[in-house]
Amino acid sequence: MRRAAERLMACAAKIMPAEQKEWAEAMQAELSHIASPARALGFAAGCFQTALMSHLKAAKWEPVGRALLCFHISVWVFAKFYGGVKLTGAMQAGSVNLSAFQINMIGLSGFTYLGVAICLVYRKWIAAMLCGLAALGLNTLHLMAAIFSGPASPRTAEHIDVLSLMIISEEYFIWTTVLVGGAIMWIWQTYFRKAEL
Amino acid sequence: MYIYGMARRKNISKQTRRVLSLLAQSGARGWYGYEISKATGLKSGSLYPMLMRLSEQGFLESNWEPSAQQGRPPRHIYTLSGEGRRLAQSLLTDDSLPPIAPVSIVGAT
Repeated sequence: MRRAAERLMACAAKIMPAEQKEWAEAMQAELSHIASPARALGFAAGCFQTALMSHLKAAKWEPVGRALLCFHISVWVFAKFYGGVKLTGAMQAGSVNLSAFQINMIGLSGFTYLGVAICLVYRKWIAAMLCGLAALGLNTLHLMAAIFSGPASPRTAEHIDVLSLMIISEEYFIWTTVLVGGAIMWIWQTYFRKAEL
Repeated sequence: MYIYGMARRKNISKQTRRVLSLLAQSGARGWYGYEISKATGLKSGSLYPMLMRLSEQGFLESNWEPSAQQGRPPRHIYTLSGEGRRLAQSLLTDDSLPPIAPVSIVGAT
């Protein structure tokens, strides 16, 4: 048990950010003064938790976020292009009849995507998120209308291919992640990190 | 220097007040990390981030002290800075804050 505590503490010291190494040394020194192996293990576990949190806080998340954003925007652009070509082709062939409501929803979502692009250029993150969610809502309305429409407009499921499904899923996944992540961050900042000290 | 407003003072957690209270009540005596943990009942996972924040904000001073026991490494000993002492005093006399459980200043390793 003592060996496990020492190993855990060594791991904690390894992952502690460079500017806080002195704290890791202080924790290691404390460990050697704890007589009970069980208590030493508990103490080391807490220190490991501290080091891990410090490591996560010090980690550079910006490049990861930027890469994810670039990936998402690329998929987005591709999805809109692919969707536009496919839909136009299908409409010309007469296999898809869109209702006026669906066309309005698609048109409106186009404007909201434009809004997202403008907000991203001007680095208005919250506004971009809200525009994106509005676009998602309009797309959802369009999809719902297609799924539940009568025989005059063929059901979406009959015309959807695997790639379209993947693109739609990616869009929902990203926005759900953004929404849920944002909500968790907000709750954490508001209720759990109130204590500044 | 850092001005500690009334509005922010209410945001200080009970755990932090317990630590500040312990360090303030024991006068010039310094405390080791594990001693503070035992005296306040705080786990190391809560205590160390707090000590690090207090130190960063200038309320806590930490120094290396050679161990009394031979063959053991030197330890960090913690005391309140002047600013920390003033903060602790103001917190201890503030009736608007919810009470905290008394801390035992008799700590042992």
